[in-house]
Amino acid sequence: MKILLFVTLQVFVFFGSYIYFRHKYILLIQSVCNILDNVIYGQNDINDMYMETLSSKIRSKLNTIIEMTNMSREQAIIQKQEIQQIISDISHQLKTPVSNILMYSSTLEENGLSDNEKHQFFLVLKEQTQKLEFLIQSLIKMSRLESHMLIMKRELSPVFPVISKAVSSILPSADKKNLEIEVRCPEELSLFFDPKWTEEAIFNVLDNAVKYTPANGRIVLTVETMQFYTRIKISDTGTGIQPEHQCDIFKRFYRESKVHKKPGTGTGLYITREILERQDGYITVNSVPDKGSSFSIFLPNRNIK
Amino acid sequence: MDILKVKGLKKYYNNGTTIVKALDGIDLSIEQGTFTAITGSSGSGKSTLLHILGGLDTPTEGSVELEGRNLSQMSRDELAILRRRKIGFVFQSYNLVPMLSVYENIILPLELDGNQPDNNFIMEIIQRTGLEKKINSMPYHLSGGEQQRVAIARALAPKPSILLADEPTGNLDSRTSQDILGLLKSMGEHFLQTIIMITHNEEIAQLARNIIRLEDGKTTESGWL
Repeated sequence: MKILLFVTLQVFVFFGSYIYFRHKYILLIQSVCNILDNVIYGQNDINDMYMETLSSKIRSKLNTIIEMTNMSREQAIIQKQEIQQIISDISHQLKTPVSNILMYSSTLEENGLSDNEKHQFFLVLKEQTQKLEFLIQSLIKMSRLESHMLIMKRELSPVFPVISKAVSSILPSADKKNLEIEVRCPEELSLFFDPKWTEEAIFNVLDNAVKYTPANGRIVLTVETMQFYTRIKISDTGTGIQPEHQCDIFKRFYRESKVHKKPGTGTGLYITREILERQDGYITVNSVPDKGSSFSIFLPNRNIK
Repeated sequence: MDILKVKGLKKYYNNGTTIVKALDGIDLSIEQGTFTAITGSSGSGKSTLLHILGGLDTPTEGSVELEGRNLSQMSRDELAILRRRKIGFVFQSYNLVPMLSVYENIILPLELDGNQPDNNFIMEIIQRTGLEKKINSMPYHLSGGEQQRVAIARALAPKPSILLADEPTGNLDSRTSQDILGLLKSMGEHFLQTIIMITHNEEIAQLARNIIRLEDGKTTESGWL
């Protein structure tokens, strides 16, 4: 008799708890379905995100997913806008030299010009064509960066040859201004980076240093290895950058108003920063007006995929 | 997509005789996945702003919306859970738990929320912060830079919506600072992590794409790089 009672009780407890937990389970699933419905219909009900319940936790995690999908969608739109921006920038920058070339060549077609005048016009034509070439070159580089067609080929390679190549391509223009260039770099140092593009990045910074340093100045390039990054520091005794513009110089097409007369498109440092960021590196500047600037290029020591 | 929206934020302190305006009408919006630096001299209201953004302090006036939710309308309990799930903090003083090993410190926020740590993810963070060989060390055996790396790993472990860093390299020398910030930046980009960092150092601020300048509790300038 006792055993029978015990068994009956057990059966009751079993079914009782089965029904209870099933009910709980169904409630949870229902709330998950509600949440998913909200996601599907784009209604973001965020009121139950911060409670100590399982469904609140699911809600919170789903919300993160929604935010992430929204983000990638918006990034695609932003990238599209950036490309449109570039196209309009390109056409704007190309307009002036092209219209100059057209104007001078149609003048040349006319008769009655003296040889001297013709010569002058040809010089202008040549100069404008060079400007055009320069613009096209830098814009090609930039559009490649922008449209994500440029892929960094990172490989373990020595740093010294890259720096020496960049320095030797800047030497002619540095010699013209009688600038002294000092390079301190350990020859055995190797890092994981794209040698071709990094050379260009270093060249761009050197090019700026040469452009904005008055004659008889000095440019020093040092390489220093830290724990995670290697710093390539390029210091000059140039005109420096006003503190309020020190961040602007990395913007596309940005040029300080005091340098508007010097040749350039304002794309060099922008490209430099892009090249570095695509290799997990970065660039900063520290500058005192009329004393000089020092740019630091940071490249990672390790390669983490 | 704005993850954080701040409207007309004011914070006044009354010290008996005068009213100190720590923040005096701040409006800003932070886009998801971006790295923002807030700069300004000491006393400009940077830290007050960051504390309010992180739900650690309440504003006198104005609103802070994180993922569309107004923080000032939330209860204390809700705020505590929000901080745990959605916000990662990195402070100047590293605030590690001295009795726990590096690994235990890193997974602490996950355990507090009752989650099983996703081991692959945790190991990736540990690798990226270069702490592989230190996971069983105790915090007091680590250098300042290493402790801050643990703090960054811990802040990232729960995959927060937003990471707030208050002078993260304030106690470190300039070489270590550059190292740590480079790490923070590259991890932010890798994990699509929104980061807001406070700093008084202009060179450090250049690592961010978006720079907001504060002066006397007001934003004087903000610009995208």
